[in-house]
Amino acid sequence: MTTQIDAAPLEEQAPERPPQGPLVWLRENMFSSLPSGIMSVVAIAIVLAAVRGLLAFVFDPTRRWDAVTFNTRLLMVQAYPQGQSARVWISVGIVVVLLAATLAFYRLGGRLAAKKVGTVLMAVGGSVAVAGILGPFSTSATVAWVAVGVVVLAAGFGLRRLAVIGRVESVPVLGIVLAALVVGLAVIWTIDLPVPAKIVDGVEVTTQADAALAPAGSEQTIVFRPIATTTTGPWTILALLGVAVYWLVKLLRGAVPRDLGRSVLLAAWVVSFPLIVLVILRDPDLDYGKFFSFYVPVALGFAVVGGLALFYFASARAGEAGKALAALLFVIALGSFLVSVPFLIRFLLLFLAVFALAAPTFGSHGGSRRSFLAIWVGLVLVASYLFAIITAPSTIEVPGNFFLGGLALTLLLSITTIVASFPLGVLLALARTSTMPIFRMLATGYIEVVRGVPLITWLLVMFLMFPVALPEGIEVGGVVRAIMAMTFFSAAYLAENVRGGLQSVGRGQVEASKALGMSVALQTVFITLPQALRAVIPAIVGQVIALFKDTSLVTIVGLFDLLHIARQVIPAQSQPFSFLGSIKETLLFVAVVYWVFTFTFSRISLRLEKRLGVGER
Amino acid sequence: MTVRVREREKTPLWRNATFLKWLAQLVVLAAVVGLFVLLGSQAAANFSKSNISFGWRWLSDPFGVNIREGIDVSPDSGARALVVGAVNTIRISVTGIIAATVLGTVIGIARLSKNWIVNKIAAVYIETIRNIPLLVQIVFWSAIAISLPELAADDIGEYWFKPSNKGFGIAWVSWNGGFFPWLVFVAVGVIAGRYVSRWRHRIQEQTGRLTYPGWWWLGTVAAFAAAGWFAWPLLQFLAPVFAAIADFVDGLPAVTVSIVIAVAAVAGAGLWIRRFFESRRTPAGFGKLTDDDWFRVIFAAFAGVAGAVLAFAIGGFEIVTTTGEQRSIAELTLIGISNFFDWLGRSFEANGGQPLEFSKASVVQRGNFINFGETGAVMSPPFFAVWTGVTLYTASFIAEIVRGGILAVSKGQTEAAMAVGLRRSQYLRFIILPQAFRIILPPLGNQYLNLFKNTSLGIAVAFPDIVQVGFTLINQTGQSLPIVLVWMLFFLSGSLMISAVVNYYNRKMKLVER
Repeated sequence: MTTQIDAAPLEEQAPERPPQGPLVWLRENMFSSLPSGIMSVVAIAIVLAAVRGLLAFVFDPTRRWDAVTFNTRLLMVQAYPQGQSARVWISVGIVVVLLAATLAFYRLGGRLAAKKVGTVLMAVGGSVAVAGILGPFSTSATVAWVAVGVVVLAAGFGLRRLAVIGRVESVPVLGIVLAALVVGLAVIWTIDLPVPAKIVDGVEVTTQADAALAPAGSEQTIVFRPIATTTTGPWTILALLGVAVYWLVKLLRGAVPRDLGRSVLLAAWVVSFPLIVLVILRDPDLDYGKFFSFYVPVALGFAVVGGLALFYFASARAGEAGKALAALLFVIALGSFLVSVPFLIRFLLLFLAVFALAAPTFGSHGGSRRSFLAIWVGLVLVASYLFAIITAPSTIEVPGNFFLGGLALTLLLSITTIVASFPLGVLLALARTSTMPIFRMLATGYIEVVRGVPLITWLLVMFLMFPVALPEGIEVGGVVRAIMAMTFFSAAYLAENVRGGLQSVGRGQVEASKALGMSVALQTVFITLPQALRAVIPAIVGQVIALFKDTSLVTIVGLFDLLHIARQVIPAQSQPFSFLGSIKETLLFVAVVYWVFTFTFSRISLRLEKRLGVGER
Repeated sequence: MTVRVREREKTPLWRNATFLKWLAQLVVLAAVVGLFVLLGSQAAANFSKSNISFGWRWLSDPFGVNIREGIDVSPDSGARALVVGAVNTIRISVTGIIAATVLGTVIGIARLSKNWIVNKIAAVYIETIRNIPLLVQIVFWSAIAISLPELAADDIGEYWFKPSNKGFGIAWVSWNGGFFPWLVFVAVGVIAGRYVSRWRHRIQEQTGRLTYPGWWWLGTVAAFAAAGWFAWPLLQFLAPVFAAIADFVDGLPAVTVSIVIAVAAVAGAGLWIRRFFESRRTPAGFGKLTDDDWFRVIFAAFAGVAGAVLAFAIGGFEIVTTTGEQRSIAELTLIGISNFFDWLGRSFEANGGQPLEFSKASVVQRGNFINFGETGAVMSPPFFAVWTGVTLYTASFIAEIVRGGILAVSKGQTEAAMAVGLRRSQYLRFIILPQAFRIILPPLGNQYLNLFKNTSLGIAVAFPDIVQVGFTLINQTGQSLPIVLVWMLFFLSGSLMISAVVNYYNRKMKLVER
């Protein structure tokens, strides 16, 4: 027997719409019970007091925000010469172009629900309006704040209404980015920022040099100006460039095979960093005579002769004699460090020996041999070129002993350290999980000792003791020493993360690869490591964030990173304008800069975690 | 047709996996040792050129600089200065760990609150604090503390709390003579309280009546503390006992220390090896030992013997004390132990005052200077900066750990607790937190370690912790290597101690699996 259900119209079947509205929301989310209500009241009081305190702190007339606006260049690149600032803008431009191209290529940025965007807009508008009322502003400023807040609030409310009645369902992320760009450009062209100025006899001194020369009694005041015209132009060009590249790549995307595009992008990202730092920013003064008489022949010789040798080592004919020869080569390479041979040749010999040892494993078949040899030739050429430009003196003349400082140095330290500590960390992790006791003991000892002692200690060791242990004639600069200390430190932490990943790879994988007859090296490189690293990507991103924050420690050993300029340099400035003691302003600014970077990173890590589904498999 | 069967050859040496593995390991070991020897000999050569030779004389040489705060602001020797720095580090670590745990737990729970605004405040706190480098925060707090108003003539008087650019005056309790005897009473109270609370628990389980074991525990401890407040002079009979122990230790020959340590090392290694062999014994017979296993056994035996030898070598090592005498380390250790008991004996004498004394902070005039007086406690600006920095920073990480731990407790537990009719506060306390604690503990221990190590950032705001004091010593004497060794010893043993405590609780809390 079946019961016949009358097919009622859909609208009647739908459940009754729950009551909605701000009051209902408030009752459910903030005043659901008496304790909750009390907590809400207390929390609101705390929020109001905190916001008011923060605004009072920021807009206190005694705050010297001009210490930040006047010194923006110092904070970003320290003493990089002003005449060469085009190099800085080109570097930023490269990053912007690559970013836009990557976004376009991977079709990143979907659409956001209009209702959510409306809610966010309403929250922002509401906060601005409340801040306008709470802040210590003049009447006209209060009106302006509240007006801006109300406009944004109304826009958000309108969007929400449209979403509710079903006219607009979602907003493209790109539209939001574009709108933000337009608003940002409008802001940098119109909003005034405080700038220090000196008044002599009622007339403002216009150039910095004149300000420095102004008589001691001249009055120092703060005037409000749009952001200095030197940066408005470049930023506008960069924004337009980014948009243009985005559309261009979007158009071209269909025409280029996906794999090719991906490789090109990846290669561009990898190359961009050394290109920016070593070629564009550092501008090496290459001695072309030596370049063509030494570097080019050595590089070509190693590429050709070494390539032929590797061809032999990789072939089946070499057999055990080949292995013995490779081992001998390794000993010779190590021995070259004891006799006087140019450094480049020592390193290339060492590379060659390692490649020769690895050749039978990784280069024994047609396809793999070709890529093995290609990697060898590429490595030799790139390494020789890098060696040539690093040893060449820089043409950039700066007062200190390193050409970069400020945020640029902070980024340089973090990126180099991350890249350098990765292979070391993986090696340590492999050694620690190895079945060979001496390797395991060495790795365990290294990891535990390094992790057990704070980073600042290692930095001090590197700065106080390491230079003493070097043979005469070899000097290692402060920045390199800091990078070495942080690399050794971060590698130990990274090794522990990777070890977690290695332990998460199922036994079945190892057993299956053994059943297929893979050697331990092949199994590690192609089976275990890829799975292990994939599993710990979120942990590694966390480690990257921690490392980025830790770079601020170099201020203690006197490197001019972002924090050092904010904490030591600007508060001690007396010429051409006196910013003595204005440390709170600069620190707050620096905190915001660090925050923007780390917060972005952590959001990316969250997205990555969701996409990889770590913890769900 | 004949099939030629190759006779099984013995594997040649260059194809023998065991041989190759050991060869590779020994080569790498030799390379590592060689690198250190190379660097070390170069360093020695460079140092001999600049007439610095590493040694331990700086331990007893006068320090010559005043330390800003600590148990001894003008230490008479390098060793004493390092001790002052170490105590400062420990002080900030212990108080910071307690404060960060409390704050982090509260914020972590608030982050899960259904109350929208409470939840959002916690989220904003976490996302702001943990994304800004700790050093920036510490320097910022230091800038704030230094920019507070100066103490002026109007400020002379007594205060519960008085902020100034010389620090924060806080009303505080201080302990004097009767404190230690009283502490013995409190300790006995805590032990007795455990029995009382177990007894109440038993009654509650048998009868089903509410017996409030927690309150009973608190009452017992309070009763013992109250009794001890008046009765502590009764314990003065312990004073001669401790004095006798001090005399006894003083009379021992110096070599006793070395013998005790050596015996402990050898016995420890022996026990470890025995347990290792037992663990390989299965009902099916003794398991086959791999190379690696043999290596472990040999290494343990070697470590035991090396420990014993070191105990004698280091124990017999003579250094010059501040008074100019030659004393061996073993002798100094004995003197230290004897001094400790001597001090304990004096603490139990009946001439102390009240165990604890409460006093407000005072601002007084000394000569032309207005400063905080002796009463109450003063939190110096560097201490405030480092303490606030590490506490707030670590709390933001602990909050995330607590939140993760609570979320990891299965939802069925919450639903079951609701079904039984527990209130939110009750199910949080009795159902969720105990289970979450198990998940929280290991990462929490990591955060404690981080806090401990992060106190070393105090060097940026001139807080005299062990790193800052050591750095001063290096600048004075050039003895970088020995002082770096002292740093490593201090931080490694501190880390080891924290992880030992965490591991102990971890084992205790672990789910007993069947």
